[in-house]
Amino acid sequence: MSKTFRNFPIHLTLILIFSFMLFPIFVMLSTSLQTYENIFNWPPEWFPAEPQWGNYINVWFGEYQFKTPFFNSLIVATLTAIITIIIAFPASYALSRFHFAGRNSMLFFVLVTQMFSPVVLIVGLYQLAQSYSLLNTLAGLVITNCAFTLPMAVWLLHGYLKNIPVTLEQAAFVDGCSRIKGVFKIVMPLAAPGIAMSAIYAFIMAWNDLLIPLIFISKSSLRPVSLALTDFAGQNVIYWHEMMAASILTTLPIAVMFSFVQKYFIKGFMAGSIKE
Amino acid sequence: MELQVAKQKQPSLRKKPRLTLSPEKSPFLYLLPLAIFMGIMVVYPVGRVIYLSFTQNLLTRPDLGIQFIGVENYITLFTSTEFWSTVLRTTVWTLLSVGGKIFIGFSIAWLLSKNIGFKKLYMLLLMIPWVTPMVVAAVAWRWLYDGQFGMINYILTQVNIIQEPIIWLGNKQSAFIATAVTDIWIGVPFMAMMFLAGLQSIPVELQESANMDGANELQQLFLIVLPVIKPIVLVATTLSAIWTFNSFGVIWPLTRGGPVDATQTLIVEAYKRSFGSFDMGMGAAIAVVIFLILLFFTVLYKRLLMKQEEM
Repeated sequence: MSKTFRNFPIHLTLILIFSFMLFPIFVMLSTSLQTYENIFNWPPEWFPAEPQWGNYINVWFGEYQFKTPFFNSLIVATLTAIITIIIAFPASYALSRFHFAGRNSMLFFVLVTQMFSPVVLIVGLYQLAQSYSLLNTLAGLVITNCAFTLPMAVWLLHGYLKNIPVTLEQAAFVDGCSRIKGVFKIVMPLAAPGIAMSAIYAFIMAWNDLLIPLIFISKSSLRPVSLALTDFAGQNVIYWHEMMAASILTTLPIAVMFSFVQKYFIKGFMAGSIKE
Repeated sequence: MELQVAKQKQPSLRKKPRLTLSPEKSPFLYLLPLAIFMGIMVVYPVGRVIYLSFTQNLLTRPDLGIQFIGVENYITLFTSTEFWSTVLRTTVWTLLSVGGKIFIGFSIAWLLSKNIGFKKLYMLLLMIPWVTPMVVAAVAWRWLYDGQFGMINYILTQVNIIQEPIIWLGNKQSAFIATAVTDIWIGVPFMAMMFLAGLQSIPVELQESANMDGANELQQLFLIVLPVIKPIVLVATTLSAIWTFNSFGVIWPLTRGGPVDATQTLIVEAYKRSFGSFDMGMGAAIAVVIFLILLFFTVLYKRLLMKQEEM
């Protein structure tokens, strides 16, 4: 009892900060369940008496056709994650197990590119995509996304693999197991959480990216969610209730994925250092 | 002569790695896909953007083609007052945003590190803004800032801070602050979680002995807590500064750099030059400047990480 009372100012401060942090989410949910006319009511009806779940159906199938960008993003983000892991895993394995000249500079290169603003690469990437007819294709988005997800994935995976003891594989090698087999049978299962974390991170990065589709995609049927939302917000009449429904739908897959890897996340950033 | 003898001896002393492609002994095949991919998708574009920065290349005038003009783009850039005001604006915007993230993030972490109830609930709630995609956050805030029916106007008029609705994103000063506030909102959870991880690594005995010595909250904060978590603070701040400086997904959906150029950071400027006015040479020159700034911060980040591992 006395503890609760003593902690009262702490909780009060936290509640104040958290109202700022959660207010936009609350408004997003509330608006997504209003009728169009109700949005413009002052005082606003925070908790709509008749929640309009139909808004979600309308934004999905109706004028905004949000299902198209949603599936585009799903395809692009999934393929980005898969390709990222296929390329990043063997490379991170080599960086964590072999000692060779240029290893440290390679790690530094990966770190530098990870910090790049997409703006630095985008002109060159745009011209590459143009010459290989990859503009206005989902494949173009996937490949370009990988240029930004790969460094991050190598960084995270290298940090993870470094902490898996080499002795486990070495025992298998002594028993006559080939290295490739050892990697598949021993290292990969142990590294599964790290692989999942990197894949999900790549998925999230691809899902959230705006700059690449902004430059690569002009066909409206190929827009991913980020571009679709930005485009809708630029129109003269904005149906905010449906926009907010679309925003919630865009957040859901990321929220689900993130909840799986959250605990590895901070560790990954702290541990992924260049030094042995 | 002696030198040569020494040289000849060396191989027998140290096992020299044989040049081999075998996946058993050589990292070559594992690294090949990454090397090819990064070569095409990172090294080439960087080279290309550096080359373009020394050219005049207007996509609106294809008849002129690409002309090599040396450092003229850079001279034009560095002598224009607009460029320097963009640099200043980017710096102020980044400082404002990172400062806000540190302040709020640290407040949350510090309060949550105390022995209080509902800790799990607070941390769960903090996840919600964290998972919100940047573009979604920007769109939601755009609605909050709406000049007529936005909730911010409603609340501020209710509590009599303002008399009538303000068009937050249509006014130079307010748009600058508003975009930074949105960016702060997005970055706070990451900061709070990093700081909390740091605070939880402080040994309990240290705090207990400080308590017994009668140190008050502020003394504890400045004399014990901050020195211990300094490395984590530096790493988190540098990372956050890089991400904030790079921010495009917040400003573009909110204001597209406007009104006029009130929220035009270097990143938005580079995008607009290349893909708005199709002045590839000038866009590339700005991109190279951005590249150099980021390189500096990355080296700083690497040093901080290395220092931290030594501890």
